[in-house]
Amino acid sequence: MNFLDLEELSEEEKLLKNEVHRFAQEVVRPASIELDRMPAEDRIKPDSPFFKVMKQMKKLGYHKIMVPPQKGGIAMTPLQRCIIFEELGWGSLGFATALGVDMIPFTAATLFGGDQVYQDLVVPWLERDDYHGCWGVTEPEHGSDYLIAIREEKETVERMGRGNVLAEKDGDEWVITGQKSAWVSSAPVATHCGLHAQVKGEKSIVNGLFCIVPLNSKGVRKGKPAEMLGMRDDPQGELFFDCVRIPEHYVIVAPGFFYGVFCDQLLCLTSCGVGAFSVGLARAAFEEALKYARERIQGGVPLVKHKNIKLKLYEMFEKVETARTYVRKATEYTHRKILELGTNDASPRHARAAQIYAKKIAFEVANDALQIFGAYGLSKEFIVEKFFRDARALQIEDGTVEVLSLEAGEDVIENYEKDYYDVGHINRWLET
Amino acid sequence: MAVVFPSKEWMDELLKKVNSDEQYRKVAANWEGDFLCTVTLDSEALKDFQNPEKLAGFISMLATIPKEKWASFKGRAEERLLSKLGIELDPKKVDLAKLNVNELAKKMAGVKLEEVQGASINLWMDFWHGQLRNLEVAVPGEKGNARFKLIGPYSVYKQLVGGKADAITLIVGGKLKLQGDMGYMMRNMAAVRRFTELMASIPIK
Repeated sequence: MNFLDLEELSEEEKLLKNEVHRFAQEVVRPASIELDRMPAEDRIKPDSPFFKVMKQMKKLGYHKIMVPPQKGGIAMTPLQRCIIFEELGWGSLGFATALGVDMIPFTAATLFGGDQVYQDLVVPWLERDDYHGCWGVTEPEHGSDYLIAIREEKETVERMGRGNVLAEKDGDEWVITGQKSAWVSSAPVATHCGLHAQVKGEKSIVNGLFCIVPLNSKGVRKGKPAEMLGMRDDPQGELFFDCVRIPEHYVIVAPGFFYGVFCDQLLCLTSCGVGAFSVGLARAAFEEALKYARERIQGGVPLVKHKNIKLKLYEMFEKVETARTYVRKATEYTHRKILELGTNDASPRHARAAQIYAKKIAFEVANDALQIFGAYGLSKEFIVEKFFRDARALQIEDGTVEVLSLEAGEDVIENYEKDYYDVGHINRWLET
Repeated sequence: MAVVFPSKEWMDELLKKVNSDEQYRKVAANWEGDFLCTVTLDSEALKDFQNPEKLAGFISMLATIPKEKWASFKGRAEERLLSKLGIELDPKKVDLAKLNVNELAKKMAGVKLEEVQGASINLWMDFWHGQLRNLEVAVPGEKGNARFKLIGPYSVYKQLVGGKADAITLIVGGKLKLQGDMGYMMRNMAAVRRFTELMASIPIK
C-alpha cells in the first residue's frame, strides 16, 4: 500500500523503497507464512524456505548495508537503512531479525576487529551466501538482565550470579565453555556466533568480552530449534560450548573499559534496527486493518463508517507515523556517531527509546488490527493473527521492554542534562 | 616524503601535520591533556633495528634526550640494549650523532629479546586546545602523571603509525592499553580520531 512519506524521499530513495518493498511482498512474506506453519525441525532443513530467502537477501547485498564502503559494504545513508529495515519488517519480523543478527558478528568485526579477523571471517561473509551470523547474549540464568547489568548496582549484579558462558585465555587462544539459552535468534541456522562471555575468574557478566565463534568448531553443539509463539520465521535454539578454542584475534572486544562502551553502542545500533523492524510490522498490521475495514460490511455499511473503527484506525496511523519519525531521527544520530564518525558516543537513552516505543506501538497496533478483524483475526486465514503473535514476541525478544526501559531510565536519571555520552556507569566497574 | 618510525624525523613530521591541520584545530579546540605513549620493544623491533636506516631513526630519537637525563636509564633494559651494541650511555664517552649505524645494525642480530625484555621508548605528547604544543622523548619515570597513557608493543604501534589499524580498533581489541580519564576521552573522540588519522597519514619507510 502506498503512503505519503513525510521525508519527501528523493527519486533514488523511492526506487530503493519500491525495490525492497517488492522483495518483501513477493518473496519474504510468502516464505514467512510458509515457515510460520512448519514444525521447528523442518524450518532448519537445508531445503527450508529460510535459506532460499536469506540467499536472495545476500544476493541483493542487504547484509552489507552497515559495513563502510571502504570495507566492502554498500554506501547508504541512515535514512536508506531505515527504509530497508522497515520494508523487511513489513514483510516479516522474523526475516528482518535474521538479517539483523546475521550482521552483528561480522559488522562488529569490521568496525572493531583487526585485519586478520576481517580477512578470515568478514571477507567470506561479504562474498558468500552461506555464512550466517547470530548474536549470543541470552543464557539460561541471564536474559534481559544482561542488557541492564552495566548500569545496575554492583551488589545487584553480583547477586545475578556468574555468566553461563565463560572465556579463559590459554596461550594465544581463548577457551569458551558454557551454554546460551534456547532463545538465540538464528542459532540453529547460523554458521558463526557473535558471543558475549564472562571472563573466567571475574565476578560478574559485566567483566566480559565479545568474540566470534565459528559454529563448526570442535566442541560446539546446537540444541533443537524451539517451537515459539511468534517470530517463527527466524529459528531459535540453544548453543553449547564445550572447551571451544578460538584464536585470539577472534576476540573482537577485549575485557575492560571498552567492552562496556561496546555493549552500550552495539545496543544503540540494534535498538535502531529493531525500532525500524517494529515500525514495519506495525505498518503491515495497520494496512491490513485499513484494507479489511474498507471492504468488510457490518451493520449494512463498511467497517470504516463505524466511528469506533475510524477512531481506532486514526490512532494506529498516528502511532506508526510518530514511531517512524522518531526511529529515523534516532537512527540518523546513532549511525552518524558509530558508523560515520566512528566516535562511538551515540546516546543510549535515545536509541533505546526508538526500540521501546516502536515495540510498544507495534503490539498496540497489531492488537487493534486483530480487534478490527473480529473473529477472523483469530483465525489463520488472515495474516493479522501472525502479526499479533510476532508483535507479542517482540515485547520480549532482543530485551524485554521493561528491562530496556529500566536501563534507559537509569541513563535519563543520571545523564539527562548532558549533551554528550557519559561513561561514568562504565568507569565505576573499573574502580577497585 | 617517507620517514622512518620511530625517528626524530617522524616526530618533526607529526608535529607539523597536527599543527597545520584545520580540522584537528576545530575538533580539538577544547582538548586539554597530555599523552605518554610507551612503545615496548619486541622481537619485531629487534628485527627492524637490524636495518641501519631504522636503527639510525631509533638512535636519532634517543639523541633528542638531554644528556643530563641519560642517567635515568641506569640499570634498565634500555641501557642493556645499548651496551649490547657497545654504546655506553655516558655523555663524556659517546656522541649519539656520530655512531656507525651500519656496524651497530650488524650487532643487533646478536641481541636476544630476553636479554633486553622491558626495554621501551616513551613519547610524550602535549595537546592543548587544538595544538600539539610539544612532542618529546621522555626518560623513565618522567611525565608519569600524564593525563593519558597508551602502552603497547612496537609491532602494534607500527600498525597504528603505518595506518594498518586504527587506534580504536587496537584499544578495543586489547592490543594497546589506554589508561586515564576515559570519560573525558569519550567526550573528545573526534579529536582522538583526527589525531590518529593524521599520524597514520605520514608515509613510513
